[in-house]
Amino acid sequence: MEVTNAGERARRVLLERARILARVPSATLRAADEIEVAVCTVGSESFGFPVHLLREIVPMPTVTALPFAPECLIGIAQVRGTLLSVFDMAKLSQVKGTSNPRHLVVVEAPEGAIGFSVDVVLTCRNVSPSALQGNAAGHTERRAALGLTPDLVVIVDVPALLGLPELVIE
Amino acid sequence: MMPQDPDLVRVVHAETGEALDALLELSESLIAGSTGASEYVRTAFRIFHNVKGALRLAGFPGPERLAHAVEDRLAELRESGESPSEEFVDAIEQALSTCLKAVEAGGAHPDLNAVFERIAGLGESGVTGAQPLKSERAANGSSIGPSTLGPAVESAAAAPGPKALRIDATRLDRLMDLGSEYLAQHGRQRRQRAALRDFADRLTLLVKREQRLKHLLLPLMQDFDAFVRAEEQDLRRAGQLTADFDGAMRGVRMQPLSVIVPQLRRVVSEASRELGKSAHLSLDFGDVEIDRQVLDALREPLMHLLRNAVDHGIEHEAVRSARQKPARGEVCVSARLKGVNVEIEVSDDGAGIDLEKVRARALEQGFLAADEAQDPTRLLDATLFAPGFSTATKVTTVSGRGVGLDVVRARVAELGGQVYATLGQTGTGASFTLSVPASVVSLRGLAVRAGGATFVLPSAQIERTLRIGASQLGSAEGVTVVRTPEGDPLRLRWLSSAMGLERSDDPDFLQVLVVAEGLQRLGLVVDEVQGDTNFVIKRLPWNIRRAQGVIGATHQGDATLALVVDPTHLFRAQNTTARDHRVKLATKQQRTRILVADDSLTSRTLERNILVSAGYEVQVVEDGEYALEALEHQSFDLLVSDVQMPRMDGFELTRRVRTHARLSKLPIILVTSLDRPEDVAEGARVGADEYIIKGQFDQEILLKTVSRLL
Repeated sequence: MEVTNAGERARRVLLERARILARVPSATLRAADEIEVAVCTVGSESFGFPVHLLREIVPMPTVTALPFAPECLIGIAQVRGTLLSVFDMAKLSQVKGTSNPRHLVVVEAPEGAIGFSVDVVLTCRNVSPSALQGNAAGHTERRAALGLTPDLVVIVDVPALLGLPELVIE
Repeated sequence: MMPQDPDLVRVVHAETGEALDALLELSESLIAGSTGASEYVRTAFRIFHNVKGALRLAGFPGPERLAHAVEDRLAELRESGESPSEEFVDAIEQALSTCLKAVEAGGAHPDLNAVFERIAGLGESGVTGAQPLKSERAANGSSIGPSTLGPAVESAAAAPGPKALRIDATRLDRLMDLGSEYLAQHGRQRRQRAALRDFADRLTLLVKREQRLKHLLLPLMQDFDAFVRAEEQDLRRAGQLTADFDGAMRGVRMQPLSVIVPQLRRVVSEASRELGKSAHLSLDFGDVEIDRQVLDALREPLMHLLRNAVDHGIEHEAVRSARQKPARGEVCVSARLKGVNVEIEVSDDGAGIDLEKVRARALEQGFLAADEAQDPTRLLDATLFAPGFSTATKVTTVSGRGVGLDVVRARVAELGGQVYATLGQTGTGASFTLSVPASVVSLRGLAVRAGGATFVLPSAQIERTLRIGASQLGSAEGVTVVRTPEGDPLRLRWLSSAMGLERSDDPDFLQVLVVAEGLQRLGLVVDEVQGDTNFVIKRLPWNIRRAQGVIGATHQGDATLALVVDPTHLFRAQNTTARDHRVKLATKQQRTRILVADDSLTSRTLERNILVSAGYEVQVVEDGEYALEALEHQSFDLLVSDVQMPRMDGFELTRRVRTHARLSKLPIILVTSLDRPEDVAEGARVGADEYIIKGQFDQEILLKTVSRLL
């Protein structure tokens, strides 16, 4: 019996491995208007960051708070030897629920990198911007959002996010 | 002529080569029409002016004379407003190329005289020339091109020179960033290894306790323990290597500012000799280190300022004698780190800048309208640093062409800095300050802990550290003060409060750093001083334009960062949170209790008020018996007592206290009008610590005495 179970388990593992290896890379599957997003949770919500606009997503580094900083700025951190500011995505987006940041989404602005804290990186998947329920229709009130997927992932408008006035501390 | 400094020759060689590159590029842009004739003349003038200065410094008089001759021709063109001819452009390129060849050859070159004659000929035959510039000239290769200039450039590249490699600074920056990251990664590994060690220890303990496991697992645990030990050793070695690598990387970019001292001395020495003046250069660079790229860019502005100081500032000996000044003029250069900026001040004790003369010259040369010239700030800004402005009545090879300060401002601006003049009264000298932000600055700093965080303060601004008993704190104008061992009052500020952090309860003794800002002093209270070391300041991220009280950050050898404090902020914010300090102080000093015994209502009220205002908790009693009773039933830190009191006098009270088991060590101050020597001696005999005579009594004496005894 035990041998059978072990054999069955091995078969399932091999099948799963074969399925993964046979998978065509998502980029080639992507329709012309689709973009690949990294889906991350922040508090009680999910955000999708277009992958082609990200520098990287890294485990949350040690962040040093700055005195008298606004609430949305967690502090500064060193990533690959460069200092960058770390913003609280939950505060910036006013999400509900408790955020427990464990990852940092690093976005490269023209002047330099900026980090946004997220809780968990769930997956990468393709979405079609044309299929999103947009801000204009009132389906989402989020700032810096391209729109919502049917399963309520907020697709982040990265250029608009980088343009938020709170990101520049005067 | 002074002997040639090999290091200097290398620098001049590189600088002349770069100047030639720049001139060739300039010529191309003139031919292509993207640069106008006047811009060409102005830029070429600066190129030759800089090269001339460099050649003079390195001791190449022949090439220097040639560069000076080109300058003359360019000055004529600038004044006439005419365009340079093709012949002209070609001739000055040849001149610079010849200068470079001469440097490579040790100063002499067979073409020098011929080229000098050619340049001189430009002046005699007119500068505009008959042939206009043709855009196709470069393509024809008539004079600009590899056939003419290539060999010089190639020979420079192929010259058997020093083992130096010129590397783009951004690549070094990237290497430094990676070095920092490597250090941070090493810190994380260290923490993980510590966790592994802890795990191994706990497991070993468990195995030793459980006899059943011991037999099975102990050999395995021993192997595991050996593995962890080996890993720890490797990590230590890696840590040392990482630190060495980081230090070496920093060393690549950073240089002490003092390396340019010989160069600066030579400038002052040669300018003095040439102008027949006597000037001494004094330098104070401390231990300021500066990014090599910034240092290279600062050489030229500094040399300009020094030449100007000798030429325009320092007077001839006869004039100085007539003005009651020492015969020898003094030129000073000092440097200090101010945050991430390096501030270098060049000052002299010469004639200063004559505002009236500047104004007159500005009007004469059309720099300003008459009404605009009345505003001194506008006048100086529009003239001193403007191209072509000079108050010198004759042109020398030292300065006086009106390009010095223009170049200084341009170069400093290129570094993202600024230069400003500070003028004394006419006849009392002048000073110029360059403030340059450096991309990376290494500084000596003191790492401290406050409010649970680590901060770094520039050591240059910390005069000393003090350990002060909390009971010594006083209050003045609503701010906490303390007296230094010399008796000077020192305002205190808590770093944690200044940085917006929660202030913890103060210990019995405070760690105070005496921070200096100009003539101001401030006592900065910190929780712990961790020690001083060299730090590399990293600029705050681009989007944090201003962070109150912080000028940058530095990594601490692990993944964490320490904020570098802006001392100026501490002084600025000094008064805004005084109340906070006062409240904390009052809370703190409730612990220090003093008993005052005096039968005179006036005396005891006065003493109580003095002590209370200094933050102590005070109880008063009317005689010795009451005092002894209070001491036996309550806790006090010090007794202040009169001598002549009913029921029990101060001598008896002191005697009783000294023989009391619990109270015998209590500090006692006798305050009395009995001033006979035998009374004072009696006070000492019975065991009083201090004897203050009321005739000499004042607040300060009492507080000082109390502080000392506590």
